[in-house]
Amino acid sequence: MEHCLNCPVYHSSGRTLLDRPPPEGYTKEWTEVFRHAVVEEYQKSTPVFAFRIEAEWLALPMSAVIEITERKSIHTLPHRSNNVLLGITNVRGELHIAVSLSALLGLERLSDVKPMQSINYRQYPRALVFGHEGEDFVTPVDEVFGVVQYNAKQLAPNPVTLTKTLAAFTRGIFEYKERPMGLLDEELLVLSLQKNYL
Amino acid sequence: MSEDNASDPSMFQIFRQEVDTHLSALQDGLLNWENNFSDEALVKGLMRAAHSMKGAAGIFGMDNAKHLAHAMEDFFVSVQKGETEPASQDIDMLLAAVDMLLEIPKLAESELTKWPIGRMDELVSLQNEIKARIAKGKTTAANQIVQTEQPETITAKPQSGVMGMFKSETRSRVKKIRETLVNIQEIPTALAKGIDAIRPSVEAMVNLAGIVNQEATAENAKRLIALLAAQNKEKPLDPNFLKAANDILDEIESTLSALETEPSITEISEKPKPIVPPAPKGVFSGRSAQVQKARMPTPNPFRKNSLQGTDYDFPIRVSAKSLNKIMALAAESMIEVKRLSGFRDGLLKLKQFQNNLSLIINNSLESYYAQSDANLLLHSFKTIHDNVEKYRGIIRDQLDGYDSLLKDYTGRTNHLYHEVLFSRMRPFVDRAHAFPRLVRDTSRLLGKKIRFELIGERTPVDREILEKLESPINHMLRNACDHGIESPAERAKTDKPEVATIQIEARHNAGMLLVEIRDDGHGIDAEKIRKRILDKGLVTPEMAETLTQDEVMEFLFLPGFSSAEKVTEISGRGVGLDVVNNLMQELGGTAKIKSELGNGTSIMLRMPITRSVIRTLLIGIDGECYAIPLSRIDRTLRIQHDQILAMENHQYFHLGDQNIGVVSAREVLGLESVIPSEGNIPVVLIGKDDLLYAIIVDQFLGETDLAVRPLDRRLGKVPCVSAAALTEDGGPVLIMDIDDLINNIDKLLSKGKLGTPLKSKKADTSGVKKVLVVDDSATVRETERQILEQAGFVVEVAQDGVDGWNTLRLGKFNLVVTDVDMPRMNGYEFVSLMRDDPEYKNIPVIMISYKDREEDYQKGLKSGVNLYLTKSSFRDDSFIKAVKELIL
Repeated sequence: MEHCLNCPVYHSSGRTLLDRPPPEGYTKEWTEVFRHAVVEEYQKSTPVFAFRIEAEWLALPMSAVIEITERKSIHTLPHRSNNVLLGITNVRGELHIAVSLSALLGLERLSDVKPMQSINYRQYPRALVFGHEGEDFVTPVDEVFGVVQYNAKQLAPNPVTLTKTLAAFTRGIFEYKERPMGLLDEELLVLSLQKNYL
Repeated sequence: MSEDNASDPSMFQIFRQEVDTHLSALQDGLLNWENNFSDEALVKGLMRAAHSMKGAAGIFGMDNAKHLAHAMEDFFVSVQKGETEPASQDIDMLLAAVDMLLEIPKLAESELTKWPIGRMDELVSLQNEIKARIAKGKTTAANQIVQTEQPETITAKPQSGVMGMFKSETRSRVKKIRETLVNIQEIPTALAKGIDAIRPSVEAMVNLAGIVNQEATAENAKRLIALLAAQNKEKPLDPNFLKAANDILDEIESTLSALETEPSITEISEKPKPIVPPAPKGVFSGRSAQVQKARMPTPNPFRKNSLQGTDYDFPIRVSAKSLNKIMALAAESMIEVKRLSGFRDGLLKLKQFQNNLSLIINNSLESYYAQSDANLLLHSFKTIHDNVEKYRGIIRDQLDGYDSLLKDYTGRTNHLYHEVLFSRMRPFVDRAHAFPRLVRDTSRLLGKKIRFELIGERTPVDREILEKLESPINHMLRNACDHGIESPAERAKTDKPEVATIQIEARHNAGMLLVEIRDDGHGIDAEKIRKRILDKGLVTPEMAETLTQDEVMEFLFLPGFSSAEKVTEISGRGVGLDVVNNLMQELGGTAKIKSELGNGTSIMLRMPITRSVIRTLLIGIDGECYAIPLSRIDRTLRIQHDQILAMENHQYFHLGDQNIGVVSAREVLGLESVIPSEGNIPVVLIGKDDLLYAIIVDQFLGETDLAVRPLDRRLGKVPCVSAAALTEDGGPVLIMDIDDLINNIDKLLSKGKLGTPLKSKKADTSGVKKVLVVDDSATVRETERQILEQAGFVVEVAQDGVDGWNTLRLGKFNLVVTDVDMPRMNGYEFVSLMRDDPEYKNIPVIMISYKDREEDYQKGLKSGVNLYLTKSSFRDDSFIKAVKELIL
């Protein structure tokens, strides 16, 4: 028997298909699904800036990061410069106080960076301008990655392997691309610089 | 109403600026009007200013100010209508009103609606006076009661910090209590809450007063507690309660004022300003006394800025024209950047070209080795030649383009720089507003008639220089009024006009700013000065004879040199001209006095128009760049190493007939000293005449102009460095502080080594015990600190739990002393944090509080403290005993 597509028999058969009653329990099943309003927990993530000094990958909340720029020469201050307070340097025409985060955090000096530490193909040392509540400083960093989103829930407590100094300034560790990154406490950093070195 | 406005900081800033403008207009207008009562335009301006002031006050809910401004406006209107005939006494009255209103720009936003604090009676009286005046419609002769004022001090005496803190703390508590009382008055149902809020504050006052042994205040505070208890928050408001409370507060305040101290700590941290005697309490008597205060011009209300974070957030005025020019130049700069990218493309093309050329040459070489046809070879050469020509053409074009870009860029950058620099300038009159007032008030106080004239109002002066000039000019004006100008009687004797004249002229000349202050008084007797110089033994008698008049006058700039016979309230204490001289030196300028006995005196100040750029010599020290201002260099030279002779530990060399001490710049800067043992040694001679010092540097780098920048204020004073700058290649350079340098050199030469290096804060203090004091009251902190430091401990302080926790983690402490009630985090929470942290749980803690009930004691012990003391333990040594016990 042949039916053409516009045949009314074809039509009504199709209709019957669409109008058939749902199978047993079908309605119930789907009611259940819709009843459980999926409360997607709003995953609040914080943007932080990841960078590397020596062998450590560290991060600062974006609110504390002011600028990343080229490293320029640092002029020492007579009778004042030491391993943490390096001196003054030029950042886009303004003179800033240059400090060594590496020295402040007690990070070990490495002669060369093991290949797995670095993220980028070529490493460009940069100057990081950071600050808290109007007090800012510049510090040289060995490599920068960029902005990373992390979730406060992911923050793990400091492992015992961290040096005491570094641990004091680190809020916690989170993972990014299989690398552990230490989230720094910018408030304490700035406070420490102010109190001890200025 | 004002809630929206009140929460917007920029709105508040605008309000402040507006009020400032209107009050300035009123003040200036009133002074002008006094000489010109018939000028209708002036009256109109005054009326408008008062009207605008009223409006502004209204927006922020300042009803009291509104009413006062309204009264002033009414006065001007009545003058306009011809109902009132203005006279000098009215000016006094109106100026007094302006004075009161001038408090407003100094207030914080939250204080606005409470204005005027403590001067309500004064305000009401003043307002009534104005209204009465309008009603009467004719002049009255007012009794001028001249009250002698407390002498103004320009410098603050050193004080014991604790008293000052106690005063300011108690004052602010009193203020808050008054506010709460006002609140209760307006909203009677707030009684219970109000009393609850006041009580702990008063209790704290009792304790505070106890600590600093202020029995009277402690007693008064206790009376207040009794009063609070008597009121009993359950009962309705007793009508006498508020009055009684305010009376007690008044007594406390007057006790505080009577205390022998000077400005409180908060005031000292600002620029030092003279003490303005407090307004007479209660009835506003001796109105003219207020006027004759001879006020210092109100310090810039935007300087003390509690709203913003840094000092530099306040708005400043820049002419719109200037700003537009800067915008245009900046926009051009942005566009021009595109031209730069064109060059990059050009260079890339050249690189490609070069590659091609290399290829062609290689091919030609191959053909040559393959010994092919000579014609082919020739052809190759020709191709190469053509290409090289093309290459040259491209480079030439690039160079041309680059040249043109460079020219544009340089020109524009120069313009931009100069425009911005110029925007820093303000017309001289910007800071000269208070001068006419000062002269007027001082002259009235002294009973002299003096006219003030300002020439060169619009002369542009660098903002910062202008600020620094204000104070010295004030001083010189006062001097002129006091010592320069004679009394009207004396002037009559010498046929001088009765009204004396003091003029200030500001003008540019040969790249310098000239400010001259001259008067037509009786001048300075050079011979008297000469005698004084001799008396003081400053020069030999022979020398004294040969001094020219100019040279004699220079001695007036010496500190402490005053030829006034008696010290008056106004001047004559010998503090002043040396300040002027120092300032001029600091700015790189000069000050000169010229005088003609009988005719008058003129003080001439010369300084660079903008202090921003100075001429310097760049030198290299240990691979870094330093700069010495040319004005401080005697000369530079190179000496042979064998010219340096040694004597008793230090070096010197012969120059003419002088022996000049030699030091190495490196050593002075605290670096390793390396005096070269051969060759030419570059040496810079600094100093003057017979006091020269030779500094060995590594190399001379040339002369250059540097745009001076202040060092980051957080660094404080860096030894031997006055400021910083950037060199052409963008590197920082330190500008040396020659005076400091000379000091250090002296030390080096005499002791053979520099003094002990600055104590680094991370100095090894093992063995010394460190204590952390946490308390939100500055007074208590200081008291505890003093007690502990006297006992030999090193002390650090924190002002609340959060601060304490941070500070604790940054150092190694042996003991913590903490208060209980603190904002942000109280003592219990703080101690709990400590006990939860393995690092700090073993540090002993003493908790101190005025709460001495059993339950407080228990709560303290529960949170983990070792000892719980009450604040009365400061009276004896139980505190220090406890500390020693716990630490040792």
